[in-house]
Amino acid sequence: MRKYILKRLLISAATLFVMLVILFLLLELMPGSPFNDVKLSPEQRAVLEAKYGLDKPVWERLGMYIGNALRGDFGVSYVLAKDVPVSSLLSSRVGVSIRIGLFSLFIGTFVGLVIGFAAALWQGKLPDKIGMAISVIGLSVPSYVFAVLFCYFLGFKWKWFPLIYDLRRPVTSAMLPILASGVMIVSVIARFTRDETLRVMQSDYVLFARCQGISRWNVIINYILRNALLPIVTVMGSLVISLLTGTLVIEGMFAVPGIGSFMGTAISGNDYNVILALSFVYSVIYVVVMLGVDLIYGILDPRIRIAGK
Amino acid sequence: MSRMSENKRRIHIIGPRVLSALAALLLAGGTLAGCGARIPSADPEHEINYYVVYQPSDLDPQTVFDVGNMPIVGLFSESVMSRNEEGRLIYGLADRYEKSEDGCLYTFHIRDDARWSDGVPVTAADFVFGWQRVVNPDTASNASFLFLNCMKLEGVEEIFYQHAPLDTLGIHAVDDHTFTVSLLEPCPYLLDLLVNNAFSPCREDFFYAHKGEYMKKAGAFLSCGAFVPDYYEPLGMQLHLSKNPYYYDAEIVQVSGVNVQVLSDQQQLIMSFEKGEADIIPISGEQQEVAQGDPRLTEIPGALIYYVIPNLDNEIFGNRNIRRAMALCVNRDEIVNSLLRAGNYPLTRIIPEGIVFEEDGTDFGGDPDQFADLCGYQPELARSYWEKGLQELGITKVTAEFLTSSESNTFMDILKKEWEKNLPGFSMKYRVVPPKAYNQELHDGHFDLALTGWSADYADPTAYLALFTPDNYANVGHYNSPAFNKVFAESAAVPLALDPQARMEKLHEAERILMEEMAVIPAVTVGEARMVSDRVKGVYMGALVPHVNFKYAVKEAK
Amino acid sequence: MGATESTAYIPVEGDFRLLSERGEQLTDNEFSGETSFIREAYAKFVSRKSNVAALVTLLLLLLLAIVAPPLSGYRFDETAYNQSNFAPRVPILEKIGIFDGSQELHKTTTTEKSNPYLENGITNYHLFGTDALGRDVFCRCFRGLRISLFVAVLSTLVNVIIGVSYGMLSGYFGGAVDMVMQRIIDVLGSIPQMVILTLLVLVLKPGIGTLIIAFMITGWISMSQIARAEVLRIKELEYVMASRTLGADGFFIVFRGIFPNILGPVISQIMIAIPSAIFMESTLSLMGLGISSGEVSLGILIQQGLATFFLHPHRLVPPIVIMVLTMISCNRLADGLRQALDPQIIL
Repeated sequence: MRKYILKRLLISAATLFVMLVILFLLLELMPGSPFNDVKLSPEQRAVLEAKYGLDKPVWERLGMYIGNALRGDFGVSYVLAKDVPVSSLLSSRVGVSIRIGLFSLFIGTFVGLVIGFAAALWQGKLPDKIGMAISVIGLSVPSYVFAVLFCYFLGFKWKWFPLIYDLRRPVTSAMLPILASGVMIVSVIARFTRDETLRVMQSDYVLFARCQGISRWNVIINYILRNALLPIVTVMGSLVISLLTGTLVIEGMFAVPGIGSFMGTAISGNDYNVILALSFVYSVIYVVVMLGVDLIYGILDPRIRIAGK
Repeated sequence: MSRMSENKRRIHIIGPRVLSALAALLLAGGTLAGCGARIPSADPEHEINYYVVYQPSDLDPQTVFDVGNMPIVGLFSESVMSRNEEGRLIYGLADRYEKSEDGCLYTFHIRDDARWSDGVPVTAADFVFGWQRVVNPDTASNASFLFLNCMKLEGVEEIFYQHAPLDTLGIHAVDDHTFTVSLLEPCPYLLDLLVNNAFSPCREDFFYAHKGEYMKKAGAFLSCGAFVPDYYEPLGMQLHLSKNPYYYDAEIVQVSGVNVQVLSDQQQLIMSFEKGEADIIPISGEQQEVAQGDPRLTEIPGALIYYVIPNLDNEIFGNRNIRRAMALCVNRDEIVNSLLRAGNYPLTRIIPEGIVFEEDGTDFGGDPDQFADLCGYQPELARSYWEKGLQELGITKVTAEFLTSSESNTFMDILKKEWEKNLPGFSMKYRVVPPKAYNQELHDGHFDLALTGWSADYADPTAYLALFTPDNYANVGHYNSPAFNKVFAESAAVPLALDPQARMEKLHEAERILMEEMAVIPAVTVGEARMVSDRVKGVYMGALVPHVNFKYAVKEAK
Repeated sequence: MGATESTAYIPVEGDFRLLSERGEQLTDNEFSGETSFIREAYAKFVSRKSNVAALVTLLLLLLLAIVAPPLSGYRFDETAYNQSNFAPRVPILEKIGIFDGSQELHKTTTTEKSNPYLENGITNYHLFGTDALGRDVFCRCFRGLRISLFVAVLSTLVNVIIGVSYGMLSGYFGGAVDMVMQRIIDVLGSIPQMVILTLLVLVLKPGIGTLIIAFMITGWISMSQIARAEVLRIKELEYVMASRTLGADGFFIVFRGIFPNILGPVISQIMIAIPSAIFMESTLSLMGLGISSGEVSLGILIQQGLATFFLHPHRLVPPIVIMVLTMISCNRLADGLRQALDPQIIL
């Protein structure tokens, strides 16, 4: 197990390093300079570029950048927030995104589990049909469409929640973005739970337990529920990734000061260091989540542990 | 049986672990929910909820120089001059000034009650430090444009390009309340220029005490304006300002604070406004249809003009008749109507209406139809000029390449349609380049035609006319006319520079030359439109700095 | 008892009759090799009505994407400034009072009822109405669907080719080659797709080609894993080992053995990849990074429709409905094919 973890960690570290180099070189290819005001003459621009070391050769800057990045210094923002260190810009924003993401993950998972179990227990009956209809719609309709509908009905018409994220009301105003990104999670979890539960219900040991005379609900809780829950950990990884993608649009709509809305502004502003650092943060979250899911699954399921050796 | 027990054992091992893992994650989520800064808000009922589209990227008055940040910086910085609720020039932190005979030396007297938001008086040394910061090449301030290109302040170029000592700059403190400004050439519009936030004071001890985070976080803000920021995070979506108790005009400031909210989604903006969460929202483009006929829709005239630049190095577009023909069949009304923008107007001259006022109060661009014969929509006349131009060139077909950074642009489509319809043999195609490469392509001269905008930074005709001098960097069409150069140079030289009325007449002449030679093809002026709640009165919103002013605003209770 | 002691009964030919003589044929479907894999899969697929419905919907959408734009009578980029933001008007339905072009505009101060067709004397029919520039939404929607599908299908097919060959090579050679090739996948797979997409669209010129390249870079990994696992399995089968021992070309045998086996997983992977590419395209468009140069896609239409959703819902609803229908039928089809092509799935 230790060897397996070590190997995974090594791969992750290598990935992140390669990421950093690729990102840096890609941005080199991006046309234009961050100082691209019509009103600046070439001499004025040269003065500005020299201040940030943009006049040095690529390889020298790459070396400097990686050296600094390893010490946690991602440089300063040129355009979006002049001279503010990128790391401090990110730190406040990552928290907001993670907070909203986790909440929609928890609420979504809980609702999804309930729907999924109900659908499996009453397979082919009304709960199943309703549950699967919800699931199909949630999987096929993009989350920004839900965002628009929630805004209009819950925020504007019925005035349940504030329309946009407001630091003066951090809890109520976070509800709409949480709900909008939670629909997708409900659908995925409901769907997966239903399939897993059905699979477990048809397994031999459940049949055997029933034959032993253990009551229906006892079997459901002690045998089916617990065994069906386990594989759900595996979908969590891909769910987090979809959440990250979703934030890119959702956060902008609700003015959430998270990393998703940040990416859009950084791209349009040509702010090299911010784009680099943000892509890097996205990759880190991705790699950590994937690693986490694998390890948790390894701990929870002994069979993986053996196979991992 | 053995299989059963194995399964059962596994189940019991897994159960608690799954639950504890879930519990740990939940706990982590819960703690994160608790954190996050709170916004101080003493009296939300009398606070203005001011929504903007652009995220403030910088709030340092000495470096801010763009329309996104200037309206916000203007809330907490002020210079020697300011504007009242009608946009007229008034004294700000100064209460009088003197000008020397030759127009090159100004003496400003700071008012006695001018104080910073921590109660310390504003001194002449603060102005000197502030100005020196802007021109210091280490500050790398975009606002250095104002010092380098808009006036001839002593020592600027040596400092910015050759790192000369900062104290050679032409601003000197005489005593605590007096400073002098020495210019190399008279600058007739200096007072107007000084309204810009870059000319506001900056206190040296405070700046060094908060080095690295000056104007970058709550607590590191020092205001000499009507409000002081007390919640801010770089690139946050919210910014909160409270009334500055030490402001010299504090008793006339009625609102208790301003909550600036960044929001770019147009539907959300409208809904926030209708629901009452927002007091002032920007409303743009197609959205304005929803507010047609609504008295709360407020038009703000713009200092931003849009025009087509012909590349004069190109033989075809170097021909004046060709340019005239093109200018005569631009359907400006259709452009404005199809963009559905309140605040946009057809432009048939260089200086737009309502920006520049002469000494006697007349509007320099007050007659929008002054050049209608040269620039109005007259397809018939256009064709005759076109044929004359083609004859002179000895060609029958013109294929033009239109440089642009976006394709689905109604504006350009209408230009193309009208030109191809009315000018026989004319065809145009777009060359699309990424937005950031656009300026470079323009400056390198890789275009036949291009659509560009320019905005004035001070209320003087030269803010626009200087674009057409041969050494101006933004003169990408390489317009170089001896007649214009002569007139323009005369207007800046001594006898006229000190005689405002005669100077204005000279500048009228300069504009006429530009129009007759059709240096560029004017198209529209672009303004803004906002929705302002019925509860909010007395807000200044204008084309020139400070763009927005809540000093005289009142917010009525519900 | 007595009767049995009499002479033993000798069967005669008439006692037995072959079933085939009656024209009947009984086969134990479980064990006979009579029904082919394809036929069996087909039967399983058709047995669920929702599968058939999904297939029909998808084919219908495909047909419309091909024929609707030219038959609509408009060009997708044809502007008519005198027909801006018209409500839908449908030839037959207008007689019964719905979709007759009348609209109710809920403005901030007033609600306006009007029929822009009658007021402006326009006799045209716009089935889904028009957008702000007077372009026909019906034509644009299916043009958009065509482009979205084109991008999705083309990039997915390229992904299949790259992925399957990569996976097969990696699995067949094994050892150090496999090791290196798998580490490359580990690294590439750890980069979030969204990051690659945004950066590529940023660096290259925005357009259809860029979008396809961006989807190609990230999409092939799962395909290659399916192919590799199958190669590894087949490589160890006795008949392959035997023929290799006898000197046959192992490469050929392995590849011939693979295709029928990976067909199922690859097809359902394709049906998953297509809707997700459509989805990604729309997200990129909303971020302002989608295709441009005057072309139209579902994502672009949704982005444009969202801007005026409450005033002119007719601009947003059609592209969303088309997109959702495409996604639902693709997802349903992926499920149906997975179940039909994989005998182990419990229905």
